[in-house]
Amino acid sequence: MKRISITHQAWILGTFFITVLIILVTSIQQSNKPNSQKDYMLKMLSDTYSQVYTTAGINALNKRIVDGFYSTYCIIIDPNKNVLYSNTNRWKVPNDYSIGLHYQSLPDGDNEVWWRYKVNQLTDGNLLIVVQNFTQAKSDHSTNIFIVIMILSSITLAGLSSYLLGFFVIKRINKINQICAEIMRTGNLDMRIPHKGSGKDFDALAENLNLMLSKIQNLMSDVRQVSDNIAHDLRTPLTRMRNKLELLESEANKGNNIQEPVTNLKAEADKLLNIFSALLRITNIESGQRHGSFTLVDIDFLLNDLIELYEPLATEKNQILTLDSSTNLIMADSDLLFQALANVLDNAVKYTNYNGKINLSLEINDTSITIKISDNGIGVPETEMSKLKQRFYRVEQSRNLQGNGLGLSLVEAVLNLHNGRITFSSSSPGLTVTLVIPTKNQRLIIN
Amino acid sequence: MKILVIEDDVEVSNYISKGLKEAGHTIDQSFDGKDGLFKATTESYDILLVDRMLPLLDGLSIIKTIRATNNHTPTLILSALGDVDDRVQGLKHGGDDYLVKPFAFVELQARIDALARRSSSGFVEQTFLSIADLHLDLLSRKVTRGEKVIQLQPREFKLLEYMMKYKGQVVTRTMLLENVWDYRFDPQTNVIDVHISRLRTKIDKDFDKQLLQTMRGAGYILDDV
Repeated sequence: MKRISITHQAWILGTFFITVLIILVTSIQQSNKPNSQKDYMLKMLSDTYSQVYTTAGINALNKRIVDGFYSTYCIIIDPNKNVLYSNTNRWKVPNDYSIGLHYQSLPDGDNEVWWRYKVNQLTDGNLLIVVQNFTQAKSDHSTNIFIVIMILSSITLAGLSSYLLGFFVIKRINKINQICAEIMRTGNLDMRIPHKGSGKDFDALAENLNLMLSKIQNLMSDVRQVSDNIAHDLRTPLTRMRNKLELLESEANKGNNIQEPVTNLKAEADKLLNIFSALLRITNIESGQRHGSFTLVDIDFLLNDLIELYEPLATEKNQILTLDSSTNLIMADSDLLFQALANVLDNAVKYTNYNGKINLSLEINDTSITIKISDNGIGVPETEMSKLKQRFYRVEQSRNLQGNGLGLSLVEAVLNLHNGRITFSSSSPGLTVTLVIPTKNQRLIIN
Repeated sequence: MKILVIEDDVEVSNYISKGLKEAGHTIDQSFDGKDGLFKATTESYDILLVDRMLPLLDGLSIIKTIRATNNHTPTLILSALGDVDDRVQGLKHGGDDYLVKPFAFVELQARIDALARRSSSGFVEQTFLSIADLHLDLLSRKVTRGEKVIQLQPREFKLLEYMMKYKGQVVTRTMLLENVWDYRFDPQTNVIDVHISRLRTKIDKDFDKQLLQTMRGAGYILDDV
């Protein structure tokens, strides 16, 4: 990773250098070429001077000429190269004084001075030369070179500093990378990425990664525990089935009637299948892909249906089932919510003795609805309450009653889907199960 | 009845076919989607049993295709996908009923009977149902047995209505849950049994002839035997 990124930087830097070089070369080449605009100016000047000389004579011309105007000078020579007029001593008439435009480079001390000159034929046979020192123009080159040097040095500086910065960034990233790779290789989720606790950039990243690791670790241990439980809880009925089959085999060998044991076995198999489908159902709900089936549900209507369903069962045990609720619409999956509430109410009826009392209540506030299902049954010891939602967990004294320990796990999954939560408290005697479902921001959940 | 079973699991297919043959039906078997579609379109059947996940062509596509050709043969979808969404999807594609695997054979049989009955020409939406001396008037919502007027709760009425529609046939607990209660859920305990026994008290208690029978391991039957 490190090598690649440096190569990358070198490439970028090289490209910059080459670009600047191209700019530089072309600009020098261009300034060596005759500048047509300046040549035109030289021509105009020489034409004007010629006209003044012809019409008004050399003295008039002398008055008109501004010394060094645009670094231009004027010289008049006769055809034999004798100087009749000159306002400069810096320039000597060269050998080539044919009519037209000329360029010339002359050494001046250490420097090289560039000239261009225009030779005009005057009417009296003399020659008028307008000469311009265009080292001025050459000095453009030095400005160019200066700019190029500035650019080059700033690029170099930027490159260098980004390289240094990159070096430290890469070092940090490599450290994180190394630990991630180590975790993946060893599967050891106890490792954490070191951070200084400054809470800035990389520290924040490290902290978040660490939090993620902790979360994964928790989930992993949950999964492990669940699969342990599953293995245990499924092995028991499977073993029982196997034993019954063995018994059946010997009964059949003896020629006895096996109708009843077969029926029992079928029931046993059904129970196992139910456990599996309950587990699958929980997983399915937990994967949270069911938001599509959310609709507006009148919670009061739902609770009334629930009461109506369980009323005969409660009546059989001479229990009093009461409901305090009022109409309120929430976005929910009505089937799942019904299932969840049925599971809780089912427990209440099951674990409440004859002549007991079960009350359902609905409280509504601005942000949530709260459904309380309280009974005066056998209750759950405070120490066990936190374990109720665990898969396959069953309170010791309930083990002889029908059930698979998945009911409340399903309730929790359904409530999680609705962003709600389930809590347990003692209603001394008995248990109160409180379901809270937020009604605010529900649209967000659905979208 | 002539039934086509489109199911790729040979064992399941044979198990279904054997059971249905014993019940007196004629069975054709298809083990992949293409063959299934071919048979379903070229021959005429009373009922199609279609597995959802099939090689070559999936079950829903088969149903969609035959429905597109105006073939309304009652179709029961068999599937391991038992979620409500899957179920709704199956019914949307033109399936008439949906049975989740694994299922008990009685459940399958009860559903096939119900499907056949629903599609038979004699089954029109009746407003007056009766069995023996038990009468149910859907318009006045009045139930009588002999001379006696029986008072029923709305849900009990719906329960009796459903059972009377399918009189003489086994209806399973799941069928009752799906059709009488408007929620799709699995009760932890058999709440349905309690409702049935309450209904039985109301319609059978003071009479010699017991109409509402429990079929052990299967469900219930309302029959005039």
